[in-house]
Parts: sequence; structure tokens; C-alpha cells
Amino acid sequence: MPDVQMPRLSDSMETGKIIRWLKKEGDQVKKGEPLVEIESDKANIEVEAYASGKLSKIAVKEGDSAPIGAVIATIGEASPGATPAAEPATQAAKPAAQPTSAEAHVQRAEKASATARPVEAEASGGEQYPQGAPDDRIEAGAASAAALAMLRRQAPAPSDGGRVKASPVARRVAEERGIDLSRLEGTGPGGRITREDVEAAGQLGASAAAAPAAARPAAVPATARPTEEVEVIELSKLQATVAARLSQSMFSAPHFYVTSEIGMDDAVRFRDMFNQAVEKADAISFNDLVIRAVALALTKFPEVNASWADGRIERKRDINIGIAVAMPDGLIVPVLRNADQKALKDIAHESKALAERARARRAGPQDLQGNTFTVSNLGMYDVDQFTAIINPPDSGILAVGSILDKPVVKDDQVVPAKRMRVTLSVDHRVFYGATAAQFLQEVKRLLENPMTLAL
Amino acid sequence: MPILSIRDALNQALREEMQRDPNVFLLGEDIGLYDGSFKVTRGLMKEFGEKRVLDTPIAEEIIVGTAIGAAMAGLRPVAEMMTVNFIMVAMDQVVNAAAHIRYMFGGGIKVPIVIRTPGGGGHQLAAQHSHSHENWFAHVPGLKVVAPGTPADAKGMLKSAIRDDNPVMFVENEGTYAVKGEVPDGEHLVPLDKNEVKRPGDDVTICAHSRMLLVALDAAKDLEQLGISAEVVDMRALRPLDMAPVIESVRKTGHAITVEEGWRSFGVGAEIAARIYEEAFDDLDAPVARIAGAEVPTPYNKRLEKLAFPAKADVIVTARALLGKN
Amino acid sequence: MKLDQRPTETARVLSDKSTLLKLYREMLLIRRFEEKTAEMYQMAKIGGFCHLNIGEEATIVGTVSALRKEDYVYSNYREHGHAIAKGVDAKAIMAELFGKETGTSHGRGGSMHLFDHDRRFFGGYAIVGEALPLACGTGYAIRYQDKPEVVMSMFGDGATNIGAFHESLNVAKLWKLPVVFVIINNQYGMGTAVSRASAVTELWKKALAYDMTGERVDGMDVLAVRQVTDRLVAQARDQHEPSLLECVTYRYRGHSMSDPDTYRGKQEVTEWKERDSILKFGEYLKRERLASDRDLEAMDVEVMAEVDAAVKFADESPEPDPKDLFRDVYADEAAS
Repeated sequence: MPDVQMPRLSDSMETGKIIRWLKKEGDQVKKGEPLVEIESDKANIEVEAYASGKLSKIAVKEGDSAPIGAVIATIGEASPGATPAAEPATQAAKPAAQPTSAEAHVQRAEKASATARPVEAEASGGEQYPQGAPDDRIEAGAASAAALAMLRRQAPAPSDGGRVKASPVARRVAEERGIDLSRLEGTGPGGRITREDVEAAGQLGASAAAAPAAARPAAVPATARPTEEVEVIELSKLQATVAARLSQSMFSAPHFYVTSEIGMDDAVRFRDMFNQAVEKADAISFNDLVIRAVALALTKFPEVNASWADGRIERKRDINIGIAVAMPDGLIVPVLRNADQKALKDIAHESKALAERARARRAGPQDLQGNTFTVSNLGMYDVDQFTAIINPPDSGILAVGSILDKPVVKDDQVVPAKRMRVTLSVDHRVFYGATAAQFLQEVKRLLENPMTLAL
Repeated sequence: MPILSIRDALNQALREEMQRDPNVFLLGEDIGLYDGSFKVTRGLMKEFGEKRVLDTPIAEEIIVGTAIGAAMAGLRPVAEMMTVNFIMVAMDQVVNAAAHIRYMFGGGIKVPIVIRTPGGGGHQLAAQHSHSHENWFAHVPGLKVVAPGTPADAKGMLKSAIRDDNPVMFVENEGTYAVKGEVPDGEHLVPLDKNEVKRPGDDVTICAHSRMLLVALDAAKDLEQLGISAEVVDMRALRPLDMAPVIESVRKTGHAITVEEGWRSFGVGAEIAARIYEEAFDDLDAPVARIAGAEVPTPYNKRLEKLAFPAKADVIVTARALLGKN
Repeated sequence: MKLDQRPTETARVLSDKSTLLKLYREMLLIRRFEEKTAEMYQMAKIGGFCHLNIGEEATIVGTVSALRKEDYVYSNYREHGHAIAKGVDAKAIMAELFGKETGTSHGRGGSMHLFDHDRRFFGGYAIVGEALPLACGTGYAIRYQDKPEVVMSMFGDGATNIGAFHESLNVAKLWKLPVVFVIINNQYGMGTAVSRASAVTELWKKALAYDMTGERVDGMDVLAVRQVTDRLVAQARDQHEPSLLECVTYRYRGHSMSDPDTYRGKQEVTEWKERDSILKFGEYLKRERLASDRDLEAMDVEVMAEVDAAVKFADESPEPDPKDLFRDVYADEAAS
């Protein structure tokens, strides 16, 4: 009945060794009588019996060790699950099979501790260890909370104007290599420019025949020296950002493309009429029509207004359209918020203001965040069509070509028509071909019936 | 090489030094007949007699004071404070006397004592038995403070401490007495003023001593699998604080984490971080991150207690956050 | 109290003229040294705290003179006279008070931390009761090395209330340490009278709890003090039996140089001064025809000259070199 367990004989003891059994199997034991001598990590201690009865079984023999809590003997009837005391011979022969044997207990204990380990973290506001760890449920507690808070507290890097945020070693390396920190994008905590960032930039731009060649220490590797054939341009901060983000998009999001040609005759007429009817300040562009059409289409296709988020798909409630704006040194994408809820002239006003702020490099973080879908229009450059790279975290971008006069067959007649080709780039992880095609059909329908855009 | 526990390595160091120098004697509470609360002095009274293994009353101030007075008269006492918590009672002797006597008497005398004492928590011993106070002692000029984390260092540093002419605080840890490792036989001396890289790495420098050294080494193994190469520096020499291997390491990694069992404020990590800022500021890629015991009187409850002390996971999440990989 | 156990040595001391004159001269030297110290303190030659032995000379000389050169003295922060009595050079003491490199502690300790390794004056300690455990440790070392030496631990009445006092008496008796504990009961722990600080005002009785020899003696009578100390020192040396000796004395000045002395009546001070040990011992010497007025005056002139020489030496001695600020923090310079 009562199991005798390996007692805990010191605060630091983990296992105990049986020195000597003071009773034999079959002996009568009285509560309080010395039963067994056990060696802890500190001393040899005689342990008394906590119950009276027959010592029916000794599970851990002299000289063997067992962890705290392991059953080392049974007094009286064996506990349920234990091998009946009536079969002592079998027990002795097959100790491994004993459910109450020390080994079994160890296994149980290990199993228990493996599953019981984790929970602690939440109590202290501590961190759960992120997935992918060798032991994915170990906990971190209050001990690291302050360090983690400190790292999280690192203020975001200033988006413009302010002092460049760079680590001390990044500054040193940048100075050694003549690299302008203000042109770099930081990847460290709080957007701080790290040594790695500088070194990456240094490798890209190391061969620039940049001025401070004399100041450059000999430590710069020979491969980084300028060559005659190639002029190497160091990236501006904007260029570096664009490069990083688009590379990431291109190489992580599997793209596919769907192209459609849209009849724009009615849209051209609609725009002319609209612009004649309103003040000059309220005039709209073709791109404003496209943005309006896209925004309205997105209301019907929430699966397109979505992001790939680390193995899950996040559908966005707001419809915020990024508008690609060309810059002398790259590309910037201000965001027109809640475009589906805005009238054409408001879209016109806002997109114009956004583009102006962006070109003047006065766009704030609010202007540049939160896009859910992007429109890139190269119509003014006389291109038939092109494909664009998805602007993260979007899962779709619409590349808009020029409106061209083309011969089309209409009512069995070849007639001139205004045509515009648009290409939708899609993150294949988020939505698929049929959806893409249907979405494009809706955009086409709206633009070919421009009065719907005025509603 | 023989495999010994830290407990046995310390025992061996004491035995060897007592055999080598008849002026070495031990004193403390229950170190003789009882064989020591943590059994570090097991068997020594039997071997060396009651004069050289002196059981004292439970009166910490007289233990340390007796050691000092005996040292001033030419002996080399090794006093055991059963736990570091009890040393609060003898703090006057440790700081005002042992640490200051040589200087305030113009160098006229030396005080070659060793005070061995285990610190650390994790055994549900609550607020008055779980301290780590090495930073208190390391604050005091005149004391040397060491806190080894491996059996070999435990032996080698204790032997060096006994031979040193200064008062040495020899900080042990209740949680590591059973930790085993290779220990050289016989004459094995580890200097009291040299810290050491215990595991090489490239991405982040982890500074830890005593039990936290083992936690850091354990974490470094996991970090390796996560693609983070951690260099672990054993801060066994706290005063004088040997920063050379840390600075050299930080110059390479640009990132540093300190791990200690004691409280964070004004702690060992604070000092290490300050020295890094002073000596390797331009090599840093991020602020130094300090992992330390939660700032509470240690709670009894097992779950609360566990939260109060740094564990492997703390080191791992901090390293990942520090390197921007969370 | 058993004052009559070792009559032979005491009898020799009390009948030897040169010894008696030497006792008188030492008491006088301490008195003049301390008076000069007060003067130098007020001239700002001496900094910090400064505690004077004036009034306690018979206690100091009566006890310390019973020791041999190889015996140890542990003292407290009112210890200029203790050092003088143990044979420490007055010049080095004054130089220490002046903070000079030639001082007993090279200007690192000052008034409260005099030290002389060779004279086995093992230091003045500024924490009440702190040095009693150290005295026990040295006593243990003496036993350990089996040497015929004795430790004298000197402290004030205030120290008998602190834990270290009791821990020390306990182990001294328990381990049979050759330590003589001397209470210099000058009636006040700073400004607090013994009766306001100790449940037992006959402090020698505190020995009884440890089954230790306890004695009380008139600390203004140098011969009485010497007589009992001789016996207790011999007991420590020969039988390894520690003891507690209470010397009832008085300090004429305040606790320190900055003490306005408002906690005791002027009348009390006057009464004690009337029992002045130097005055009384001088009268004794004259009465016993061991010295004349002229002899004592000549001795005073000589002592004053010694004190003046000490001041001159201290004044002319170099300051510690600033580059030595960190010297002796550790025994190995590399660590400093």
C-alpha cells in the first residue's frame, strides 16, 4: 500500500544512493523505525519508515541510486499498478518491467517535467521562447525582462533630418571606410545602423572612387578597391531601402502576373467632362480614376486586400492604396488611406498632396505606412505594359501602362479606340489565379463604366 | 584526468594546502565533527585534528575576527561562512577590518585570510538563504573576490587564494557543489586575477560567473543551433576584475550580455557594462544587456523562485533580441 | 576579587625604584603628549577625530607595562597613550597625527589607527568592539604556534555592550586563549553614562557569564592596576586562562576634541581631577622618598622636550607622496 519514496535529504539533493537496507523484504516494519540508510549529496542519513506493515518489496537495491520521489520500497500491499507482492520472483527477475521501479519513475518524472516546464513565463510578464528553439517551451522569466525591455525601448531611428542612429562600432567602421551613414538603413534594435549594415554598404559601394582614399586605413581589403571599368554608385538611404524591400519581396513572395486590356474611351470622355465641370484645383488624373476603381474593386475582393504574415494571411479592414511616386534617386510610395470611402476629387487632392510631400522629402511616417494594395503607373512614359514587384506587405500591385490609340474591331468594323493595359502582380501565397482574374475584371468593368466611379 | 564534483575539488584543495603548509587552518560552523553543512570539509578534522579544523560557535563575527587576528599573527586561516547570507553579521570584520587593515596601518601588516562562502538560490530557501552578494565585496578595495564555476577552477583558485597574502572572498554556489568535471591532480593553481573564455564564439559575448557560467554555457549550445555563435567569458575573477578577455571578445562580437544571479541594480553586470563602455565603446553594435536576479527578496514558492533567477531561456531570448533576431 | 595570588612579582615591581620612576615617567609622557596633541589639533596641525587619554594614564600604564615586548596589544581609537606605553616612538605617533609619511601608519591611518608591527602594537580600531575578535584570533595563533605570548585587548566601557564583546569572551574561555581583556571604564560611551547603557554597571561581572576571571580595580591607581594586571597576564601566559579586567577611570576631556562636554557636571570632573593619578603617584614617590620635587620637575622638563621633539619631527616630516595613494591596498602591488 504505502510506497516508500526516495526522500529529499538536502536542499541540493537530486538523487540518493541506497547504502543499506536495515530491513529485509518480508520483515515487519514499524512506523518510526529506521528503515534504510541513504547517501545524499551531503551525508549518509538513516531514514525512518513512515508507515507500519510488512516490507513487501524493495525496489532499489543497495548501491543503486534513484531520484527524489522514486519508489524505493513498498510497505504492506503494493499500490495499484504495482506488481502484486505475491510474485516476488518475477519482480526480481525483471526489474525493468516494474511500473514502480526507479527507472520507470525517472521516465515519468522526465516526461512530466518536459510537459510542465513552460507556463511560468506568463506569470511574470516574462517572455515565451520563440518557436524554432531546440527546446521550444523553455521559459524566460523576470531575469531577462529588463534587458529585453531595454532593447525594445530603443527609439525608432529618425525618418529624416535628425541625428543618424548608429551603433558606436558602425560609426567607427563607417568613418574608416568613408561611408555616409545618413544613406544607410539600420537593421538593429530601434532601426539602429549596425556594423553589419555598414559592412554590407561598404561591399556594395567600396569601389566608388570616393574621396577619402587617403584616409582609408590599410585594413580595407584589396577587393574593395576601385576598378577602372566600373563606376560604382553608393546607394542613398532611399535606394538602399528600396533595394532591400523589393529584394525581400521578390525573393520571398512567389509572384505571378495577370494582364488585362481596358477600353478607356468612356473614361477619357468622362475625365474631360469632369474636369470641365469643376474648378481647376479639383481636376482629376487618369491615375485617380484607376485608384478609385481599384479601391472599389477591393471592397468586393477582401482576399486581395490582404497580407502574408509569417505563415498566416491577414485580411485588412481598411483599403489603403499605395501610390508609387518616382524620385530622382528611386521610388517612394505614399499611402492614400481609406480610398474606397473617398470621392474622386478627394482622391485627386490627396494623391497630389502626397506626391508633392514625397518629392519634397517631407513625407512623414504616417504618409508612408499602412498600404494594403499599390498602384504603379508608368502611363506618362509611353509604355505599353510592364510588371511590378509587390510592395510589402501588400499581396498585389497593379502596373498601369499608357492609354494608347489602337485599332479594335467593333461591330465588325475596325475602329480606333483608347486602350490601356494593366498587369496585376500577385503574391501566390495569398490568393490565386482565378481571384486575380476576377478582380481584374471588376477593375476593368469599373473603368469602362466610369459613371460608377463618380458615385 | 580525474572527474570530481566541485565539492570534492574544494575538499582536495583544502587537504593539499593543509598538507603543504602547517599554518593553514580551517574554522567555521560545523565544519569539523559535522563534516560541514555542504560537506566541503568532509573528513578533514579526522585527518588534521581539532586544532587545524576548528568548529566554532554560530557567531559569524567572531569567526571572521578570529581569522583576521590569527592571520595577523602569521597563520593562514580559511574561514567558512555557512552561507553568504550569514556574512552580513560579520560585515564589519570583512570590510572595516580585513579589507582595510593593511592600508590603514600603512602597509605594516598583511591579512592573508580566505573566506569561503556559498551564495545563490534555487533551493526554496527563501529570502534569507538565497543571496548572491559577490558584488558587495567586489566593491571594496583591499578584498580580492573570486567566484569559480567549474571544478578545476574551484580547486585551482582555492589553492591560489590560500597562498595569497590578501583577504580573499571565495564565493561558491550551493547549486553547483555537485557539478562534476575534470580536475588536475596535485599542484594545480589558477590565478585569482585572470578571467577566461570558456567557449569561443563570434556573434555575442556572454559574461557570467559561478553557477551562471554553467547557465551561459548551456544557453550558448542552444544558440549555436539557432545560428548564433556565443562567446562565453568566465568572470571568475571579480576583484581585481580582469576585463581583458571581455574587451577582446567584445571587439570581435560587438555585442555583450552579462548574467548574474544577484540583483541587477549596482550589480556585477553593471560594473562589467560600464567597463565595456569605457574600454570598447567604439566596438559596440548595441547596448550591453544585463540579465540578473529579479529585484525581490527571494520568494519561497517554487514557481515564483524559479522566475526570480536567470535561466537558460533568459540568455537565449536576450541574445536573440540583442542581435535583432527575435 | 582575588588580588593576592601572585605576590612575588608584584612585590618586586612595587619595590623597584627604577620601575616605579619609569611608570611615572610614562604616565607623564602620555599626559604631556596628549596636552600637546590638543594644542596641535586646535592649531589645525591634526585633522579628523582626535580622542585623548588625559585622565586615563594610570590605567594605561598600569596594564600595558605588565606586558613583554613580544606580547600583543589591540586597542581602540583612543589609543595614543596605549601606543606610547607599548613602546611606540612618540615621534612616529605625532607624525601619524600630522598625517606624515614618517607616521606609524605612513599617514594612512591618523589618530585612530596607530600601528607598530615590531612593538606588537597591533592597532587602533575605530569601530567599537571590533578588535576583540582579532585579539582572540591572535590568541588562537599563539596557542597554535605554542608560544609563551599574551594578547591584551583594550577597549572602553561602551564596547562591553556590543555583540563582538560577548562572542570574544565566549571563545576566549572556550578555546583557552591567552587574552587579557581590559575595560577602560571611563564612565561614558561618548556622552552616555555606563548606567544609561549597560544593565550591569559593574562591568567586570560580565565575565561571570563565561566562567572567566573578572576583576575590578581603581584605574586611577597605577600600582593597583599593575598589581592585578601582572597576575592576569601570568594567568594567561602560563595557564591559557583569559580574564576580564575593569579599570575604573575617567577622561578629563570630552569624548573627542569636538565634544562640548555638556552631559556631565563640572563638579564631577573636578572631583576626579582631585584624584589625578599622576598627582597621587608623584606624592607617593615623594612620600616613599623615591623622588624629590626637583626630580619630578626635571623629569617633566625632559618629557616636555621629548614631546616638543616629536612635534618638530612631525612638522618637518614629508607628506606622503601622492603617487603612493594606492600603495598597500593589497599586499601584492600589482593588485592595488
